[in-house]
Amino acid sequence: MAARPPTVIPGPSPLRWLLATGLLSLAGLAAPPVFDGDPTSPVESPEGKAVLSWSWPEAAAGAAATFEVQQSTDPAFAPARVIYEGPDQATVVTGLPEGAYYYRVRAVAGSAPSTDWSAVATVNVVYPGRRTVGWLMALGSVVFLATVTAVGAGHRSAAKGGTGS
Amino acid sequence: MTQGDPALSPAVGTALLVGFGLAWIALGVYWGRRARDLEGYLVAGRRVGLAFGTATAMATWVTSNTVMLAPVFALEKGVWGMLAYATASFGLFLFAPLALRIRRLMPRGYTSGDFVRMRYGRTAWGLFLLISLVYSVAWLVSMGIAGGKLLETLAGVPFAWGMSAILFVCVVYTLFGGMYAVIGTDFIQSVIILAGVLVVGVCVLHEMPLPQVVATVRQEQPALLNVLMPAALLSLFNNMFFGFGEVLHNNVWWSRAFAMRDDVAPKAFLLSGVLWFPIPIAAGFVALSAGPLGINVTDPNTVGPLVASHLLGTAGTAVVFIVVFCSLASSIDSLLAATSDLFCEDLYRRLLNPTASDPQLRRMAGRIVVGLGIATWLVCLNEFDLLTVLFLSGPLVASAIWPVITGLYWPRTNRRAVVAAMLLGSGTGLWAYFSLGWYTASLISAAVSMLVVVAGTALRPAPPFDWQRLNESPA
Repeated sequence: MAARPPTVIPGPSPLRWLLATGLLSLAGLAAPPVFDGDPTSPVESPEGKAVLSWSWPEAAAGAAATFEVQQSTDPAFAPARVIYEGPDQATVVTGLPEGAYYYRVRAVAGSAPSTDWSAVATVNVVYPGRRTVGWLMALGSVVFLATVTAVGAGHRSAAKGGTGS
Repeated sequence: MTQGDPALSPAVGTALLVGFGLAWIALGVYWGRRARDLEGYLVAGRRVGLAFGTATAMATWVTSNTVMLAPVFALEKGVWGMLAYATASFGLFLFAPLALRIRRLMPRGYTSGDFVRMRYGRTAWGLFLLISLVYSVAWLVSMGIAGGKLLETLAGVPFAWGMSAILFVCVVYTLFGGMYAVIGTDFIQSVIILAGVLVVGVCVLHEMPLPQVVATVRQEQPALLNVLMPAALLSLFNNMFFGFGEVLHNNVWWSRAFAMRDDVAPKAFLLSGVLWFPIPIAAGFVALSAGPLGINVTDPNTVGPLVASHLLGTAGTAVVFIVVFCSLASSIDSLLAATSDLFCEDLYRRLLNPTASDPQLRRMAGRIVVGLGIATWLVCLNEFDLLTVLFLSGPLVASAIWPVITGLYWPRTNRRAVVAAMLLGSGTGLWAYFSLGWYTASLISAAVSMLVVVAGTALRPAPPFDWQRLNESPA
């Protein structure tokens, strides 16, 4: 989904001011978005990929908003990096090195947050062990060489008029 | 999840769909006039030359999976992912010498099932047919669903309409023209696919220079440039063996070998592999640009067309639309024709009506094409996620690699070992799929199958096989 310019929430200026200052969120009028699935259970990723999707009841009720998603290797999000800002309610992160990654999302109105941060979702990137990779690569090399050799030898033998090895 | 507006209007999408659909049907009917007998209908008279032979092999191998999954591999596994997908072309290279052998041993053959039955007997034949039919139907249905979804994404054409239109067009021209129509349309489709991929690739490079892509990916998705990324390394061999299994066992490729002149077949498969190799790399590069361009990916399966339409606007999306339509049509028609051959020859003629005349067989082949089309359409309507089923078929087809190779070249291959190899290879491959990861399944299956065939034959070699038995007269 293509990133879009931030959506401006329509409405009278006092509401916009409240949203812009974050007072609306502090007053508890808007609950934060919720990650799909069980965010308290860390997700294991052997491929360096995090698939995140979230829902926000206010969006279902017709409120327009953009979302801000942060990623960090520290559960306290210090420091944190914004990996997505836009209207979509999902994002896929790839190319993550091994380690634990923490994500949180909030709705944003204009340049100010309109909700608190969501509960934190955790993705543990654990690649297959080097020993496993090593023997599978060795196995693959052996089978590949044997397959090519079998075809090559058979082809040469057939070309010489033989009936195969 | 927010959905963006399609880059093409439904009217433009429908116009392209109808225009190209009518063109394929007209060409199919025109070429179909040459199919005067069963030989013409099933194997195009066995006189296909180098240009058409190369084009049909290349176009058939460019499927919706190439357009959709190669970018996914690049997005998720980086540089090795792109190369891993491109190794599917090695299957075409490996099949080149086998095609020559097949043509010489079976000058009057029709299907890969025929070969297994005559070479290894009925038990192996039944198992092989089951593997082949499961794989073919899964591939057919996954392409129907992928086609419907892609047309919906790019042009807002409702899923059911887009999927139905693609299947209808392919069924009609395959029905009228058989293999002649398939190979003829494949030729034009391959030219369009190559030109389209070239245009999209050049435009993407112009908009997003390579050094800029590399710099951004290195900073934000460093594992994609890591040459030791484990899952990507393993997917290299896994994809290669999946590709070997697909090409070596499936009747799509055997029927092309039977259709080509025997001096042409090896060259055509080699050339088609060379032409196919850069396509997934180009498609993959498009996907690597998603991050640097700031495009949010919500569904990796549509990342290729998404980035292309984002970069190239309406005109670029129209090109992508046409390339996707051609790649789908060129593969669906081939699968329809080859799977129909397999049903007609291996099930109808061998089991149900051994005395069937050529006109009866031709009528039956046509009915099977229509029946397959309807069955595929009905399953596709449910929008099942059959991509998983397609990957699950990887270990099944990989278990057939060694039985096919040794059956063609070794005179003393043990028949029981071949049956055991397909069973054990498939079983351990499926276990690996769920226990170790999908990127190990085909590798494990191929390894186990190889071990069983080699050990079984070394310990209990069969009496030397009389190769003349493969030169069986048609009924």
